[in-house]
Amino acid sequence: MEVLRNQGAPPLDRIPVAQGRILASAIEAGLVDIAVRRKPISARRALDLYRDLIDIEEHAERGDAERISSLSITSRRPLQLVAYEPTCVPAVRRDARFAGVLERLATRPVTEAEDFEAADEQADIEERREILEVLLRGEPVRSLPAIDSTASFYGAPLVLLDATIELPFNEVDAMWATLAALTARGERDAENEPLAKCATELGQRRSSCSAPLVEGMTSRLAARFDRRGPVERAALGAEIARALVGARSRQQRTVFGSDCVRGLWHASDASSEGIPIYIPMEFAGRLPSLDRLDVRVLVEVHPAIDAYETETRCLRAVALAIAGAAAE
Amino acid sequence: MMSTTLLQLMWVHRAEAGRFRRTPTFRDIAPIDRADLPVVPGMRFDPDDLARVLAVLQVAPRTPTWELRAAERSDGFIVPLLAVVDADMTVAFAPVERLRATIAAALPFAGSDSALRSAIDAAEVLLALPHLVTAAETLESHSARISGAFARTPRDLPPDHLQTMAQRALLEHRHYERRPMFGGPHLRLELSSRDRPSSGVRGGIDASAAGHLPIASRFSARAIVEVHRDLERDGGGVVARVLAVARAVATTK
Repeated sequence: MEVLRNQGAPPLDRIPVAQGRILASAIEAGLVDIAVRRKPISARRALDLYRDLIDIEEHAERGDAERISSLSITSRRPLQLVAYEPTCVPAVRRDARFAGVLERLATRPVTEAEDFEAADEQADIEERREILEVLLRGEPVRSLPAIDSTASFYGAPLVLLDATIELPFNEVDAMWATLAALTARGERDAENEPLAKCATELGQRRSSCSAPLVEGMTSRLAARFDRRGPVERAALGAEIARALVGARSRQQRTVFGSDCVRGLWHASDASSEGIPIYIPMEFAGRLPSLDRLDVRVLVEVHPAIDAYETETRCLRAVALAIAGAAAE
Repeated sequence: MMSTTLLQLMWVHRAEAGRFRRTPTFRDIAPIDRADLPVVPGMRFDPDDLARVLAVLQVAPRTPTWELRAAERSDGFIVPLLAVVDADMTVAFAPVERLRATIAAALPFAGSDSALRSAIDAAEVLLALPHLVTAAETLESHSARISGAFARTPRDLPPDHLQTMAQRALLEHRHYERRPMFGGPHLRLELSSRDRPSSGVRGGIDASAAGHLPIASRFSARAIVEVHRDLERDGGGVVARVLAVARAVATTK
């Protein structure tokens, strides 16, 4: 059995008796082998740990070794729900993989914090709790499921991912930022001016430009920095990236009936370009100003919707939470 | 491995979905089990309507595009008929947007090419008119002139580079050609059969479907269509109003 290593858990004598008993039982049953590091933990971390222990106990009772081996009681990170699509809730409730999580939730009373958050969002409190619980306690997958070719209709399976999502910069914004950097560094000499003018013309026609056309122009502009040293080129690159991150510049596509931000998920079994993940704009407006995000995200898996993508599949986010830094 | 095709429902005209329950053409088709209802991204449906639409797409007999007909009643009235078709769907782009996209694609090469610059300038004069009312052919001739000027100069790029870039821009921004048809704004399209490419049927799909369609110049589809007599052309041709469309997804098993 795969060994579960607990790098940040408390010494056993610090775990409350009841929880310690659960853990001890699991270890005794040979289902869990935990390397405990002697380090105190916060109350929030203890609560997370306790929840994990409950999971372990339940799965130990069922003899579900595979599930236990996939549990990581060290990797739990606090999640902040960004948004979810209410239309996904019936499908989540029907999904057998989340049934256990939702059953356990049903017996837990609504906390004051949950009540407050839901009131703030004006969302259905039950829906919100269920989605958050599935994001928090559902089992993420490492690779996407194969298409069920026995069905007549493509069903767009729901999948929970523990993922780092890359949010590439909008192509036209990246060109503008490169042009601004070129101008600010006094690079608009007679040699560069025609190129700068052409870039300006393209930027003013953004709805008539394709992504590769603009990217080509950005590369040509960036090449004007080549005569500078590698240190200065790197500094300029970082400056351009900072400007774009600050401006929340993101690629946008209109797919599946709504305007979405295009992100990339680099699955372990996918090509290096990444699988496109389309995040509805109402989610994207609440994302932090970063170009890479650690998220727990519930996605629908679809065949590629954009013929110009190299991947044969794409994802559509229906519920998304940001994973913060672990408390310990 | 065997190749199979699945259908993914992309869009349904919501106001018309309930009609499939009542129309004699589809009334006897039993809806699929509600437990098997797939997700239709970005659309909210009455599950009964959705179950009916899927059943119609699944089991209703398909009519070849060249056999689509509107019905003429005994009292002389022509009435539209519903039919299901398997066809390649090509949605048309707005000629003015194609010209703009062609100009944008040509700009990076215009600095050192006077013939290309001159073709662009001529097109820009036309586009600068405050009220541009012109035939599609006029706009297309300008696009062709720019592409021709580009192709005449030897470059390290394929001769159709501008068309490729322009086509991609049109798709990315979904600059479809919109026309008032069937009482509202529609995207102009063509349904054609691979068996008989020349037997394509003109048609339209409600403009609200634009963001639901795949980002592809052409895709294999199964559609529920309302077949009307084409009143814009002589000869008894038909025009198809698309009420629901599923894309065909190739897979292996």
